[in-house]
Amino acid sequence: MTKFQKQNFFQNTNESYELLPFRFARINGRVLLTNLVGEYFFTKDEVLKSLVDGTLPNDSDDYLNLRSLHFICDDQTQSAKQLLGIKTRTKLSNYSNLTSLHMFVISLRCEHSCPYCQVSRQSDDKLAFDMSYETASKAVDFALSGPSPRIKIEFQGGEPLLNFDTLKFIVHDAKEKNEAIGKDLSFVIATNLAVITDEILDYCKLHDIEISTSLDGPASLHNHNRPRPGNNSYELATEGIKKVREKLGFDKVNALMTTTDKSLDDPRIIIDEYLKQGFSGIFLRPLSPYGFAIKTKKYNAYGSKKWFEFYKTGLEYILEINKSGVHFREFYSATILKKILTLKDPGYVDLRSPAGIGIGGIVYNYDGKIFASDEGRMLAEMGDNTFEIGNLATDNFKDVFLSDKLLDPLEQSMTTSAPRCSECAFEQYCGADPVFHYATTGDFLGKKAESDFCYRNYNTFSHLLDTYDSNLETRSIFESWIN
Amino acid sequence: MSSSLNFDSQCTSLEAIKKAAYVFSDRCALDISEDESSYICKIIPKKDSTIDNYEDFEIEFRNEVLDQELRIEIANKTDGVKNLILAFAFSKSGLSDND
Repeated sequence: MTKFQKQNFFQNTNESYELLPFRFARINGRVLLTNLVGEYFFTKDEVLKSLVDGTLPNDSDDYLNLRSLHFICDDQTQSAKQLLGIKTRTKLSNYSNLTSLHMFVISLRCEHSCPYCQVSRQSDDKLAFDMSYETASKAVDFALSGPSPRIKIEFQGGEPLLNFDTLKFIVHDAKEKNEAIGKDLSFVIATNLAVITDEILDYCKLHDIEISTSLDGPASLHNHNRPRPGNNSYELATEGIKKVREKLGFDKVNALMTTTDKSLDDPRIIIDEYLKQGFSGIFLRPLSPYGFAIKTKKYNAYGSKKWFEFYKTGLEYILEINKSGVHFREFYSATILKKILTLKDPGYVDLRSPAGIGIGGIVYNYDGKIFASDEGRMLAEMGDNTFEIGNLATDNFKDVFLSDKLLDPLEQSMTTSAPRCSECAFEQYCGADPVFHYATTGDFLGKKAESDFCYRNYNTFSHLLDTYDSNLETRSIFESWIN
Repeated sequence: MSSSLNFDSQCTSLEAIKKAAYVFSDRCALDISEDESSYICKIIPKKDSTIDNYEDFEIEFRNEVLDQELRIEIANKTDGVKNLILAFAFSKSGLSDND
């Protein structure tokens, strides 16, 4: 007795089939097909042509694979349309729960003077650049009034620990107000760790506050990128990382690196530094075209082509590390792979369409101004208030989220209707980045053929998919990164 | 320096040529005109253009036009079902007046 019907039972007896929506791209001599929800299939050019012509033999492996992946449907598989609808709804479900990330810029003061810093820092004796309790309280009210069941409050600067009193006020105020609301509330401090103390760490321990810091590589590179009095940014950061782990727990601190022109020489020494410091991964992220990065010409010191070579070399090295038995992730790749291989959106703000500005994360500046993103705040520091979407003194949640200042860039940059994006095989993995395109071209949509964002992501998606699909060992490593 | 490409207007859609031109807009602009049987595309390279070899560029451009034709054909064949699927996906979202 057989438990399953034989394959010919499922064979389409009617010769015809119906095409379902899909896109294609050519990668290293192969044709990549992606369907409406980003499921993919590599094939040959002749199969693509036969598929579109309606002549693909219904007993071929390609036919059966394409049918099971919802590129075609026939008399046996009419439910494919409903399933694609359900998958589409699942992928977009996060959008109804806006906004989960709330960035509080509680001070613009900083004792570092990094040439690529994306906010125009002020010297550390200017109290005028600290957030007041009154503004902080309004920001807490605003953050808790949205529909998201999860609220992450991220303290930013400048150096937020230079205004520790306001930080404590916000934690206390948010927890107290949330008692009646019951949201899942968490806190993270983005700090260079230079001024962290035992008192601060005790407070973080008491309130389960996590730490996000910066580590650009070994001492010579980190200290070159991040000048401060004493030229000891690296020493303070690494000592701080140890202290945080001792007091709060090993996983309570993570680090971000910024790729400057000095970093491009050899990603391996940066990765080695992250391994040395005990981190389980690294985010090989490019420099953004804002603030001091533009003013000091650091952004133009390298283009996306150089960054992509840096990224590929780094990824290859990280894969070697994994093959030697050490689990170590590249976080940008892991985020993209999650989008490619699952229906779960990791919520990465830059790779969302509609864009993540405002609805993914929102920024409350020290002076009460509300920005659609951190990068929008950086543009304002350069004199351009395009992404200033409200003010805590006058606007409530509804005012801000229904304002044209937010909705215009969201609507105008959506990839489903953008030239070239709408036909791109990677549209389901990619995002709209209206702030980046506005900063580099002057409009929210940008020109995709000239876009660094497009170049970087198109090549990263191609490289990851080609690598994943060509090597079983790499496939297994990549899958471990998303689980 | 500039060069021209001709496409038979009976076999090639203007939409596909324009879409291909957009893909290459980082390297050149295209001045498109039409006579009785052809689309005539004058290639105007941008300053610092990377078009060193026009023969290679022509092959690349013609292949892109063919890909764009195929994309248009796929879109024409699937737009109806795409709208049906999206309508189903959003039918219980609270965004429709009929929910």
